[in-house]
Amino acid sequence: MKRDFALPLLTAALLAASLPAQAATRKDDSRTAALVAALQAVSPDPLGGSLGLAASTIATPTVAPVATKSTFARTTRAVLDQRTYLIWKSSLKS
Amino acid sequence: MRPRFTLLALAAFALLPAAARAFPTAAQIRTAFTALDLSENDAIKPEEWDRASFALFHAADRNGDNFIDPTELAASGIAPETFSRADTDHDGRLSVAEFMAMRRALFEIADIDQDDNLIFVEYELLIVMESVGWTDHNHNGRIEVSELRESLAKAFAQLDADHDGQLTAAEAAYMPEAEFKKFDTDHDGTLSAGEFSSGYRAALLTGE
Repeated sequence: MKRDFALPLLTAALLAASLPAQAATRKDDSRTAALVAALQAVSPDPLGGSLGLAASTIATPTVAPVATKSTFARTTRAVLDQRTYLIWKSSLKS
Repeated sequence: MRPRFTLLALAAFALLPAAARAFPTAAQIRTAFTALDLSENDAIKPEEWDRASFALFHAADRNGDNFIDPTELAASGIAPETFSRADTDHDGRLSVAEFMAMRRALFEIADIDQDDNLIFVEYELLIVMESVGWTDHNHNGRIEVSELRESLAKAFAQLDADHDGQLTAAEAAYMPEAEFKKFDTDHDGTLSAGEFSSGYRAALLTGE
């Protein structure tokens, strides 16, 4: 008799334990969606409209902590951005 | 009957004031600033800007392949010419790195006092200049005082829907009421071009 209840009870316990994490993820998703909506309401072009067009003619990103325009620094920054983005993105899904 | 009606319609249309370019409202700009300011310190830090930039990239990357490609361009809102210029490796799509490079360039441009933070007035100016543009005369990626003056003059002209040389509160609806009143130094209920420009310069100096 005890065994018959064990699996459903275990499943229910696991589900209950995951609820706060799921709620946190939903909260993150809705917060991100609200952020995007708020930004798009004031800046339909995420790359800055007319300002972005002017900016795009100017060279290169700065690299924290020291501004440098070396190829190595730019490549390092690019890799870091990609990785940081993927971590951020996975935090939305988990 | 018909010709009279047509004439009336035409007359009514001619009397309508010229529609002002659609600027966001003061409430919308404040909402966006607050959403960016995760630490609630009334300033946007570079890392807060980066997080928001990730969210914008994610929203534009509809198929989730970590690139914004030409099929996603129209829905993204990105201007095609900016897309082409931001695509520095010329592979026909924007990577996260290319997108972030542009976003950081915008942050630097907006950070007029160069303190690595965007206060509200700097963010507001960023929104204004996205509509009116900016010319980087000395090609240093920063807004100089003379360049700001030029962009503000363009903004004023664009906002001045009835071209009377004064901005009413309605024409400058993107400005919070308190800011409008602060800029209106002669308290006549309108902003001259001089008050508009001086108001921003003072706000940038005091950080308010």
